[in-house]
Amino acid sequence: MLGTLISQTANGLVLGFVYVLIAVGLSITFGLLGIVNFAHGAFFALGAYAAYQLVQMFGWPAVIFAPLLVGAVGMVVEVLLIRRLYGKEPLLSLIVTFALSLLIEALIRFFWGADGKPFNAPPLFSGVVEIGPLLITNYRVAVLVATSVSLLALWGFLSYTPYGRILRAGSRDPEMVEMLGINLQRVQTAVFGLGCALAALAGMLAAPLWAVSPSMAANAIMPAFVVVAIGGLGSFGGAVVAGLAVGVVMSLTIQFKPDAAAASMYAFMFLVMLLRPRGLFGERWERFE
Amino acid sequence: MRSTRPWEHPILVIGAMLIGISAVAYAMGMPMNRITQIAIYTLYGGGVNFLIGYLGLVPFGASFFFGCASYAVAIGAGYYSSGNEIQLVMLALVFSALLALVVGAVILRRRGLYFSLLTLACSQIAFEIAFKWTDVTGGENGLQNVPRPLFSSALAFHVFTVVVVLAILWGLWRLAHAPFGRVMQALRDNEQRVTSLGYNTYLVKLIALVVAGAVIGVAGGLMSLLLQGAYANNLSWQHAGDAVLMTALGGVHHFLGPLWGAITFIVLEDRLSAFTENWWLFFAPIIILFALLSPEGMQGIVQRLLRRDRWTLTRAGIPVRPQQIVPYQSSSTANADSSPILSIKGLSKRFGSIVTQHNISLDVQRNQLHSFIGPNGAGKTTFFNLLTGLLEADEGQIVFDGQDIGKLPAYRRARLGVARSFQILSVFPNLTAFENVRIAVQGASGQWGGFWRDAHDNAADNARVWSLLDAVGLADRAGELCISLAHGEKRLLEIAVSLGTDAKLLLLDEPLAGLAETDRQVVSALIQRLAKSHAVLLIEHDIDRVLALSDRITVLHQGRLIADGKPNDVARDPQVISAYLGKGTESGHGLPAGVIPFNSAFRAEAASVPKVPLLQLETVSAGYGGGTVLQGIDLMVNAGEVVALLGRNGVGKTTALRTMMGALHASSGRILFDGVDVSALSPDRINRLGVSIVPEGRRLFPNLTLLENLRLATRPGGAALDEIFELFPKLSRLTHSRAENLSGGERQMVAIARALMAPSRLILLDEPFEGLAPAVVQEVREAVAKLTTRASLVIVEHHAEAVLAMADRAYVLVNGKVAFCGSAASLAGDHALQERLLGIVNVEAAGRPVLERVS
Repeated sequence: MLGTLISQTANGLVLGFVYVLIAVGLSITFGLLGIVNFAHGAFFALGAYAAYQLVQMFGWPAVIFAPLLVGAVGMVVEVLLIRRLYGKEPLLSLIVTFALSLLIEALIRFFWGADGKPFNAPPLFSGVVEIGPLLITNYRVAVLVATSVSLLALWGFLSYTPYGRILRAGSRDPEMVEMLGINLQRVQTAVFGLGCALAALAGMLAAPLWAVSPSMAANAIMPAFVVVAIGGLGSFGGAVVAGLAVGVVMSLTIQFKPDAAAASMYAFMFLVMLLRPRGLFGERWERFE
Repeated sequence: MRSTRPWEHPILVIGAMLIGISAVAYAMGMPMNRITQIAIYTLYGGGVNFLIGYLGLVPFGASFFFGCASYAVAIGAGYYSSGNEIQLVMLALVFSALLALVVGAVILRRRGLYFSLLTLACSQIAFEIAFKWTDVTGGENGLQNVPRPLFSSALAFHVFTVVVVLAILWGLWRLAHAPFGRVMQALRDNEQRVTSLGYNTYLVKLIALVVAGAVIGVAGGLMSLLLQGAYANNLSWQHAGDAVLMTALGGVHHFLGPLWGAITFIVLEDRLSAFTENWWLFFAPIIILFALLSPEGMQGIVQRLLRRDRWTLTRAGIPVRPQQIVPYQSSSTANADSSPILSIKGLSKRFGSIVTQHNISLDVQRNQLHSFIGPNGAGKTTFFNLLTGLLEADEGQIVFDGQDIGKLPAYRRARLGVARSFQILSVFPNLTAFENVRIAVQGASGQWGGFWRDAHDNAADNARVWSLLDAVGLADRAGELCISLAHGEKRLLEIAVSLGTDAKLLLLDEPLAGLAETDRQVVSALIQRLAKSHAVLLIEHDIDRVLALSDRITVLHQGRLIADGKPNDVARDPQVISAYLGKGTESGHGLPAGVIPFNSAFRAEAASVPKVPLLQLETVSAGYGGGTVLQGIDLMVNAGEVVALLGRNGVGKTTALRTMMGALHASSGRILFDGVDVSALSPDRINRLGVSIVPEGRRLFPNLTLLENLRLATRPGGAALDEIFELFPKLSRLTHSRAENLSGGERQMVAIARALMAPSRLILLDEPFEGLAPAVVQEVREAVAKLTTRASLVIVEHHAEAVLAMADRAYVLVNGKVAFCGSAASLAGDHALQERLLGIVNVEAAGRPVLERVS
């Protein structure tokens, strides 16, 4: 019993870290661009499929390019589509990004078919690890390490690089950033690309854990919203705390009462949004209230 | 009101379309089910659009009501096996209405995006329950065998559905024109304004949600009768947005939008799914293109082609203008009641460490024009917010007409007779001028009035509206949409709206802001007339007018009441004079010896270069939201100069700096920097040409440290950090403090230092001494003085003393125009001129015209 509990909690942390990675991309996009990107889950799915394709064509090492490719696609999408949404009413970005997500899902279906693709963990990480009562697959450990490293790198990027400074400043006062001589348009394109790359990275890492199918987008976007809503829109720390909490809660519920798992996640979000609508760590965003 | 021609009545159009399509389908032998589905989705979209188009709320998870109702019908049919279609539809309606009541009571406290996300969460919770709770909902397979005893054939059920759909849509159409529906539309445009007119907006939203939920529920019930079963897929995430997308495609600002959306949706799904399961591949780009290119949807395109580019949520047109408009008469006539209408005792309010109101006590008499003036930051608008209930006071008592209103919510105070106009224009942009005023009148005469009769049928209210429009001179413009009115007309409209509530006390917050001279005269005359029958409280910066028109003036400064009485007395009060002109309230005017920059090498060198002005503004006009703040100003800064830009609040000093910086585009005129036209450049380009700004309020990035704030602005050619710390030694110890933890003076120095981090030839400083304690002002003044050796400066201030000593030339703005342009020394020496342009002097008493160019 204890072994199951501990192992499942560990699995929950892994799941949680993946959620955090997805949610952080959404949060960054929202923070600087003020857009809630409903297509974020679709980029997650795109990451998984890109990884699948690259492995098929070039073998395992090529998988690193998946997030980069999807990030590039994201930047193109920003230039063509997303930048027309800035400053307009929220309904417009809701409609466009929602339709975009359905479009990307349809494109995935078109190129790769509607059936799921088999995607097993790389042979390097097969097998399990046993530490006392804890039983966990090697791949999950690898995912844990990979996401933690990515999140740390992202945090470092935001805190210590000039670019990260611009991002942090821009999420508070984009006009002032412009008056200091920084071309905001280019920053916006890059940020959107970054958000998509993060989603794709999460998709690539999650691919062996979940089924790779066109509908995996929905399984990513809704938890992402839940995490961001609970943690607070625009808050990095909030996304981390909320993501881990949601991951663990989900995993434990799945173990003991599987049918209620997803519903419990939404109920949690509902509760938080009613009591603290800006989330646990969120700030005031007048344009959305 | 002109009667609608048959082909314009939307219900007839929908009926004709549905019958037409049905006939075509019947003749071609196509399954009638598809057309029934179109009718059902039209109803679905109609309910959703009731919230989007009429209320401004986007229920992204509206499928929640649709799906739950379909299950309610299926489950209900299981228990009550002799139920017929009519009973089941009633069940769907009642069930959904109750569901909407419960859910709405809980989630309507949140707005905008949060509301949408909560509805989405609801729909997903419902999906999970439907999908997993197999015992009750049939799980993945859903429920089957919903009976259809009365209308078993497809055609019979089709007729039943069309009749139900048309009946309910007709109900919605009537509701949209009824008083309730009209309030909804005003709420969509401006919720705060609706509250200030006395409406309980939470209740309005709740009732609207119940109605919409019920309508969507009926659609869901019909769907389950059509399919003779209930399934979970309608609740899934992919389908959650169906209704919103459909409605947006058709046009959210049109009653017929849902019809076009439903037809397109179902027909395309039908046709496309015949040869691909992947039909979103074609549909999604269509939606995206429409959303970006024609935000008004398919109906919008048609409207544009017909050259009748307007919303069609309600019938066009306004009630007929009467032959003879009854002149406006306030029902609160000038009475002999000498008791004060408003009594304020010990009012205090603070925001953290900032005290906006400190122990303010005064009485406001009836039928008087009572003005509130005070230098910037004196807390005047906050004061109005406290009186109207938008803010709650920390201490003190507010007694209105004998009643303590301190704890009442805003809408209740409005109902008692406290009306207000707003500093930033607050009207209903998408309604006609007539409707704007009518909403206020409706509020005064009886909040709801009804859900059935057309609000425009109320003759008594209509007559009052015409009287009000006539009183402000807008009777000829009554039928125009508010967005089509000129800025001055909108200000007049706002006053008419405030009057419509039949208020006893009028709080007018800067009603002249953004108006040109002629409009100011019109509005001032109106205010004067109103003061004969109402108690009028006025906040204004046009001091000359205030002095000429007011019966009584109260002066606020730094949260305290410093003077109160007749205009002439107040104008001569020494405390008031020093508050405005800054004499004696700060220590040490003039610079410490040795820092006077006139002899510095930089300035001497600059002075020897032939004078191509560094910065030149040629007849520049600019403003916000249609208003004009700057009215054709000419301004020049030469290399090496320090130019002071002075003027009272609201004259356009900050607007001028923002225009120079490119953050605001000039509506006319040219801006030249170093001979190059920069009028159309974005702020980052202008900054890279060498113009930096130290903005009002500093605008440091609070979440970054001091060092990061400086680093962000660093570019090659700018000052090195060592130089900065030499100039501002205090800052070297604070490098790792977050900007939000720095004191006001420290922030000001960082803001100044930041401007030096990039190579700047011109630095714009907006009120660098504002909000600082006197000792700190001295430090900052020394810092600014050091700047004069490195760049040309434009310093905006309203305390002339502080700045004239270090400036070469000065400009004084009055009401958006340049009233003085000359050497700083000459202005510094002419105290009478300073008082006239910057202080408060009763112009007529002084016997000289206001705007006299002195060079």
